[in-house]
Amino acid sequence: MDRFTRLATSPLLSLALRLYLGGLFVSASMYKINYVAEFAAAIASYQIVPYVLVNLMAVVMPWVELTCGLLLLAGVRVRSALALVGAMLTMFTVAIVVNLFRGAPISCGCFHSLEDPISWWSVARDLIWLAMAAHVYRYDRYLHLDRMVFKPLKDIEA
Amino acid sequence: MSGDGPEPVPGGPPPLPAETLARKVEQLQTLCGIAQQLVRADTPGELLDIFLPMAMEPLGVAAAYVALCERDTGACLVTERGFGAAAKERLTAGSEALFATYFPAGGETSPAQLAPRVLLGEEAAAEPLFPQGTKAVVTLPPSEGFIGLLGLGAKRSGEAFAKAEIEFLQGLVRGLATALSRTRALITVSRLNDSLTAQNMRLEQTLATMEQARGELDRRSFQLQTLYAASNELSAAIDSETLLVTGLRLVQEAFAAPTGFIVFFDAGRSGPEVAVSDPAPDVERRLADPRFRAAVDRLFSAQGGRAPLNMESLVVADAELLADLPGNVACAALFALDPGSRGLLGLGPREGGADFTRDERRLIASLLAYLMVSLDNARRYETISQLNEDLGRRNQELNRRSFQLKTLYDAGNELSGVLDSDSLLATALRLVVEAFEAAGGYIVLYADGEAAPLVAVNRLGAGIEGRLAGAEARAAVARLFAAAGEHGPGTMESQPVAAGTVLDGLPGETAAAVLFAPDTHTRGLIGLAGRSAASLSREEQRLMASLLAYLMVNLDNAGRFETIARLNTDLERRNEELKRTLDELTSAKVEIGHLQLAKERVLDAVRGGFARLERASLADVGLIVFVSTVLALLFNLTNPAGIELVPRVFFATPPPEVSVAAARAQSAAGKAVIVDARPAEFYAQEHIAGADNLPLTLFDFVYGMKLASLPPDTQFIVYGRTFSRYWDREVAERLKQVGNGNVATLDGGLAAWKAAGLPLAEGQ
Repeated sequence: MDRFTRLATSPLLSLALRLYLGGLFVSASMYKINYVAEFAAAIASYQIVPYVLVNLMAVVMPWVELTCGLLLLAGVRVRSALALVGAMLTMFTVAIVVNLFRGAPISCGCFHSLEDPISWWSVARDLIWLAMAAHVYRYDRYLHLDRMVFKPLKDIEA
Repeated sequence: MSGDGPEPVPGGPPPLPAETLARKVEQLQTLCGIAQQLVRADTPGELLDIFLPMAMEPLGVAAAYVALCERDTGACLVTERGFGAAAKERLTAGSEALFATYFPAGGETSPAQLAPRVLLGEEAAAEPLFPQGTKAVVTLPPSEGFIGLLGLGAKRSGEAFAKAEIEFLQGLVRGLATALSRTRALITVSRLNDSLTAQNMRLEQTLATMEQARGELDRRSFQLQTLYAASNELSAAIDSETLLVTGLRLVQEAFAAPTGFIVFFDAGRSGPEVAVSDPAPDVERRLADPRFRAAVDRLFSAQGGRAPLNMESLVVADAELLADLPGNVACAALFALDPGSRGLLGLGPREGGADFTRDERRLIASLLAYLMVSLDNARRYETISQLNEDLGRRNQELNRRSFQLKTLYDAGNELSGVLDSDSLLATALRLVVEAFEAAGGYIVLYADGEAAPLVAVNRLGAGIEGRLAGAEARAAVARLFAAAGEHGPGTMESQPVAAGTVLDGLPGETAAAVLFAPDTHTRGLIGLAGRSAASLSREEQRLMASLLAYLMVNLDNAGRFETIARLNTDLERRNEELKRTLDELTSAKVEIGHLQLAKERVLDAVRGGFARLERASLADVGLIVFVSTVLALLFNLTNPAGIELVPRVFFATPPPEVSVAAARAQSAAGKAVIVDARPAEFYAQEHIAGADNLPLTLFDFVYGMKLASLPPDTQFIVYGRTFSRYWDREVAERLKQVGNGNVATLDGGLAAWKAAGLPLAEGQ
């Protein structure tokens, strides 16, 4: 149990999860950036965002995902990036759940346009990613680029 | 007024008959006779003795008495004939009451009482105060001197008293009263005479006494004159010897004694003081002999308790005691000023050989008293003189000391202000030369290890300084110190060079020299010209020592002052350095402060940055979103596949709308084609029956396949608007673009169609 706890709270695990999340968001953003029109259609299909904002969101959001993914990979401003990642994941989950209840015949639009329709599995997958983000937020401390830069400065104090 | 004969005066007595007249004449003759007899009497007693028989005879009475009382004294006199001694006593005893009855006080002034009162027969017998057998009583007319009454016994004939006899009695009594007044006057004169005689006798006695007293006074006067002269002469002398001589001379003169001596042993003096006036050769020698003192002591002790003590004297005339004394002493007197002193006066026999009377002895005592007072005064005078002399001596001493102290004070004042050694030496030397009235002088100080001595010269030639600086003088001083050896001056001490020491090597003017040593390695010498060492008194040597002590103390002070001045300079320099260092330190401190502040700021920044790394910050989130947005917009702008941020359709004029009913009608009539603009999935799920699916993504493909063949004026009714996408308007726009002019949208869309209950379809 103790060992499990140690393993579960290990910073190394957290590092792995962070890198995974970072890669996930980078890869997800790639398609959306390249096929912005499709992504706009995907957003529209959820019928949550008003017509006038859909395109703007389709243009900006993939770049936010890309930036956050890169920051997580690099270990810079990890917690702020994680906060954004968490917020986006929550938003996706809520949107999927709403459309599941609507019975809307839409695909996720998460990675590319031709996907299976959304399902409760999609919700579970998003929740798992959200838990990973929480773990990283709580336990991650290795390989932070910004800490590596700031650490020597902070040592002046001693 | 009638002219015939004498008329009786109205109211007056009736004219008397001739017989009566004859009797009256007889009575008057008798009365005259009696009056003549009465004049002979000198005293009231004699008067009564004469009067009574003369009164009894013509009346023929066997017994009578007269009682008289003097008014002034109250003394009563009773004379009786034939009544007996008892009657006399009775009258004498009762006289006071009797006279009070018959001569009441104040009554004599009434004229009625001036007439003799007569009591007869029963009236007289009834009065118990009168003696038994009194037949008639006649009172004497009251007069100044006496009151009295005449009492008569029975007549021999046994008859009563006739009226004529009564008148006779009254006349008789008046005569008696007159006679009594005369007698009284006589008595008064006689008394006066007696008293005068007595007074005369007393005066004579007094005169005799005064004669005696005068003799005494003369003697006293002589003695007083003697004493006065003695006091005058003695007070003029002030030394005891003169006093003794004068005293002896005075005593000899006063008592006419040709020889005599006075010896006085005073306490605290070895020998006696003697004054002798005796031609005998050995008297003076014997008096001066120490054994004589024993004789005098014996004389004193022989007197026992009477021996004189303080300012007392005692005259001794006992021949046995006087036999021991030298010369022929007839009278001696011991005297003492106080218990410690003894004196003896001896007098030889007087001229004429008279003894010394008591008075004369008293005079000797008085003279000795004067002598003693004078001796005492002389003694005091001597003491005072001696004290005066002492005082004078001390005054001189004090003056000298005062001068020296003043010199020292001046020296102290002058020297204490001076702080460099040269001036000190010069000042001290000037003071010494002035104080010792020397012709000149010098001071020289040789310190070990210093070639040049310190020199000061006063009033001497110019060459002296050079000579003192030379080796010869230095060696001479060293020799003097060496000669003094252990007795030489120690540190801060001085010592005069003994008189007679050869002062080789020193300048020739040096007459006296004093060595002094301010410290162990300095030898000092002060030389004086014009004063030899021998001429310096002890006081002057002491003064010199004090002056040199002052000099040395001040030299020491000057040395210290110089050291202090040097140290002060050092201190100032160091202070300056310290101040510079301090300034540098201060600026460094300021700099450090700035650096510290900078460090704090940097650290604060680092700390802030680090803290920001640790948590999610709204700013970071905003930054990320902003950067992403900028990148996205830039990319979208440059991307060929970029999209409009807000679809153009949103702003374009919407195509006309067709109601559900019209659309149904036109569709049913084949006049219009209903187009579903939504994605295929939605179409597959549910769509208007008969509608063609024309999703935007597949527009070209589907339009080309299904709709391009339709005539250009075909009515297209497009639906599929959602909250998020105006599919209908976008497709309608495309349809217009590809050349269809008759395009409309369905009013209310699928929802209105469904609400109208029109047929729906699902699947491809």
